[in-house]
Amino acid sequence: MAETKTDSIENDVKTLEFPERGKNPSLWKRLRRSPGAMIGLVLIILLLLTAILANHIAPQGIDDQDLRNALQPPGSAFVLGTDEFGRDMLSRIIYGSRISLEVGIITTSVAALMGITLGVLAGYYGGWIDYIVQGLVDVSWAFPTVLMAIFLIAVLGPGLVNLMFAVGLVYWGAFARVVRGQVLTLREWEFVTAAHAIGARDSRIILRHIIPNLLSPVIVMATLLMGDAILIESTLSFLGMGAQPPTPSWGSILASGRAYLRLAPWVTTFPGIAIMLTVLGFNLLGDGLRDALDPRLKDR
Amino acid sequence: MTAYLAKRLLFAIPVLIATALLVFLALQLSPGDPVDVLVSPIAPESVRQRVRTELGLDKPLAVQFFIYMGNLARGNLGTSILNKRPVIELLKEKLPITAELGLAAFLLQYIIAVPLGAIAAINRNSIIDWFSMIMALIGVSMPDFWLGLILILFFAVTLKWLPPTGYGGIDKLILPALALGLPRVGRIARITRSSMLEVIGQDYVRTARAKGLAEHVVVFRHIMRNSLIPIISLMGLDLGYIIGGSVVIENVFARPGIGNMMLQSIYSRDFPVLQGCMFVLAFAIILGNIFADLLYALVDPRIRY
Repeated sequence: MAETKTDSIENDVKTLEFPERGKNPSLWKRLRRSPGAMIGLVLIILLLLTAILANHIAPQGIDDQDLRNALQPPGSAFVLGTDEFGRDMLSRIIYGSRISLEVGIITTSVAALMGITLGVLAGYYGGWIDYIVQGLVDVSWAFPTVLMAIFLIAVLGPGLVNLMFAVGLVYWGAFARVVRGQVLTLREWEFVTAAHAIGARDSRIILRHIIPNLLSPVIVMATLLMGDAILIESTLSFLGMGAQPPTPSWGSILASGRAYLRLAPWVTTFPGIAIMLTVLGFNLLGDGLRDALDPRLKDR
Repeated sequence: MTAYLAKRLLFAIPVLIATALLVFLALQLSPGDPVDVLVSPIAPESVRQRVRTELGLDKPLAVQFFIYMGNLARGNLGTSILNKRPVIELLKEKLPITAELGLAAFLLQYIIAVPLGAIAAINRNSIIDWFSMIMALIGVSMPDFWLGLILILFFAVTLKWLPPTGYGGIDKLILPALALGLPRVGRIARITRSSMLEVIGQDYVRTARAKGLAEHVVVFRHIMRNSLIPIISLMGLDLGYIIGGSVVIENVFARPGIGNMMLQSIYSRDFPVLQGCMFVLAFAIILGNIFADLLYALVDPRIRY
């Protein structure tokens, strides 16, 4: 699942090179040729639409209880059945998409912001900053990601906000490593030397010349991490460390459903499928983007 | 080789000390008070104070850390706040339960994944090749705990072939091992496949074929043996995955192992147990990686440490 995957993301991203402009067909054209990426894109667009339009498409509210209809199987009245409080599963899963998306975006932003900042500083300045950043990355990578996230939640206390922060803290190292590697190469490029020569300050070189060139590996990484973050959120919420009831996080719906596995298997089945399709979407799109940004990596 | 091993083991010590320090400090920053676990919230302050002194929580942080490290060096991981038993005893009791699950999942992964990847590499674009790719994609996208629940639903609740939860006996090991191992099978198969494809293109493979060796000799002796080398380094990484996953899977299948104990210690804020669990798991990961590196050198004579 999550942990070793990021290592491979890193390896994949590390070797990214900058395609020469003009010579290659546009990103979109290359992306469109990959059926996987297109399936991923469709899945993510569906997820976005579901999250945005949740109020309009959900047949019932987030927490509309109706105990007389508890644990109803899927059917004409409730398409995906109801849970132990008689809440409509379809509606809960639709609203759950908002939480997954929110967690994915915030976590990835936290990780990206930290990772890019520290990675750029480490790669650009080198020396002791580099040592410290690399040391921190090594320490944060010493543990499997799930374990690290669980431990951080134990320290910070349970809850969705702490969870987003914890998972962000787990993943910043992935960004920092990739960005650092890229900056090391970028630093030697002629346009950076030229900027130095005309007397540009470090801050200007970093903001105007280095960061824009980091965009493609960061986008690939962020897309893949969105999936990982959503997966970890569901795991932690399942363990009762993330979203608390009645918040309809897919993971916490699964947690309450396991008690009714025998009586009402649908409560356990559908949120899992929702998680899988969402994460699959981000993985497919991320892989597609990576291949499109560097065609040499294809089939590896 | 012995010198290398000694060096690696020696370097593991500072890493372990750093882990102990970080785990210790992080837990000190934690907002909860372990005293709350033992004492009723309405108890008078004098009682709370006495409990705090008993646990040594009233001493300065640095003193607490050195006491903790000194005990650690003597193999004393402290005492559980909750049930007053020595943490090391609890860990000894739980370790075999977790090790059994981890080993089973590990074996299962490679027994399925390596042949699958090999067949996919030899028959590119075949059904097996596609199957391994789809399995890899679904494997990394699926929550492993959910797979566990679905396995329980299918094999225990519906078919009644296997017991849903618990520990003891091979029948109770099959489902958790599948839930822990299956998600990675596709990914390992894909790595096996690309490693094999790389070897298939080598000159010595062409030479082997050119001198008229039987195809199975070429595949097993020339291709397989050389392409398995990267898989071994993957095994070291895999250990971390299995240890992380076992925490969740043990919870799903109610297996009383280290992972489950760790979760319980978080819920009950039993910090000595949590520290002990983190420490043992870190130790296992470090040892596993050293072992993988040694195995690497053993299999590939070109690598000399």
